[in-house]
Amino acid sequence: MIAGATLAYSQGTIILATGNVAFTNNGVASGPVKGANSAYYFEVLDMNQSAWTALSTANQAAVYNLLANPSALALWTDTGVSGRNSSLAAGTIAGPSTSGSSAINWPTPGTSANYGGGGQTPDYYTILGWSANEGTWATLQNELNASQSWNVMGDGSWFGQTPVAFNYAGGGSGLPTPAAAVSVWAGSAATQLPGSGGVSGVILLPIPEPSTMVLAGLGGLSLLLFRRRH
Amino acid sequence: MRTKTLLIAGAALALSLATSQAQNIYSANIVGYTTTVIPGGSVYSLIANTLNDDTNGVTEIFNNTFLKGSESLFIWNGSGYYVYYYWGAGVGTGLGYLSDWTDGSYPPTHNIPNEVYDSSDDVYWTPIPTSKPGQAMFILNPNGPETNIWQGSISLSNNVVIPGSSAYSMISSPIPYIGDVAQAPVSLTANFTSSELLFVWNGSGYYAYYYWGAGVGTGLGYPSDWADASYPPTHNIPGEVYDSSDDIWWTLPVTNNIGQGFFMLNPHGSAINWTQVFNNNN
Repeated sequence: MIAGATLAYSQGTIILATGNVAFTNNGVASGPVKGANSAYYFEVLDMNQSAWTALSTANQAAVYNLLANPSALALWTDTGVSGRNSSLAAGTIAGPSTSGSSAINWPTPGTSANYGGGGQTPDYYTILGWSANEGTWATLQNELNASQSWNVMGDGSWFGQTPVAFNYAGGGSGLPTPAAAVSVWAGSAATQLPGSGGVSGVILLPIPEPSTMVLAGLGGLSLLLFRRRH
Repeated sequence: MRTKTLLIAGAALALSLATSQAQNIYSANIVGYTTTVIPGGSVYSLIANTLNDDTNGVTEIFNNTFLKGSESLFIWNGSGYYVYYYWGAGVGTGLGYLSDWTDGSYPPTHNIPNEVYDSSDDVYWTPIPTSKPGQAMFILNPNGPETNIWQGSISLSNNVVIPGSSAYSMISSPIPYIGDVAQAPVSLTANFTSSELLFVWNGSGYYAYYYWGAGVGTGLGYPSDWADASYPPTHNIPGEVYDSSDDIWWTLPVTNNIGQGFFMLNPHGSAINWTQVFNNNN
């Protein structure tokens, strides 16, 4: 019981920062995000395996597309892992770390240096990206929860969500070194967890006018475009 | 025949013997190249520079077309890692900094010597990372598979100091050779006594080996003197055999591969000198 409790509240390590993963697409042209530092923000949301399996089929579909199903935001937990774009290289998510950041509630392999060791279970996750003119993560949550009371509509304001994936995290106290932090962009080869990972990028789309919100299969479009083939 | 196995790892190989003489000083080196394929997809690889190349800065030891950008290096500093992130050719140097690498540690430690803060971009630019033969490093490659061609020379005799007092070391064989780590020219166990631990990266974790001493396992008829040291027991090392009399799992001999790094733990009070000598009989 104690071991289970420790795992449940441990903080695994993941990596959000990397290059060539953030893009905008206005329906006419697409390309890697560009702009001054912190013109775009990114946040990793997760839920543990038991929470995911407890979701109804409808809710599993809803969490894939928060733009169309903002109430599903409450089904996710915030990892606390945030990033921003960098002007040094287009398409790059910078920060908080390239070596790993603690993700709240994401289990570690405990005393094992091997992914999946010590009874470790994977978490399910999605990555959100948005333009900074909508505000910080705290503001974005309010905007989603308030049924798209966005600060800016249309071109110039952007939002995107990756497909839902699952994977182990690193961390713990394994030897010779704790299991290395797992990139949220990694495929299954990184942890040898069958079917894991599979997210290769996040596409930000213009935030539509309220009347077109019902057509917000846009998020679904990004899922289709960026679901890595295995 | 054994010479022919040197440097061959499914890799192209070119060897020539170069000698130089100057003012009665004679030196002989084998020069050439080896190749290492780094898997992509944000997979970690534990690799090692196989050949001396001037300053052994990664700008030199990674050939020009190897790094695409966004790779991370983890170089062991004795108790943890210096973490480097590569922004791409010319990004940092184009801004007037020492390299195209920044400190990727988090929480921020900024412990890499001589790194410089770039307030405009909120990053710390570092000097060019270095890694010489005998050392090793993790690389996290978020791109597709990348192949590096190591170029330089082999020192014909080497000594790698493995610190004691149960310190961990991230090391590699300075002589690029495929073969049993206990046999020449790798000769890792030549100065071992017993209880040394070896950790070999398998792509998503470690195979942990415990050394029982020369002839202990082989004297009992087992394939090697290494046993599985994993704890909690995983017994995931291919080919290991259970010894019910001693309740341990003996493994196959440990193979060194070209461009491969590994961790060692020396439990003894004093350092172990890992000495290698290459000659034409190898």
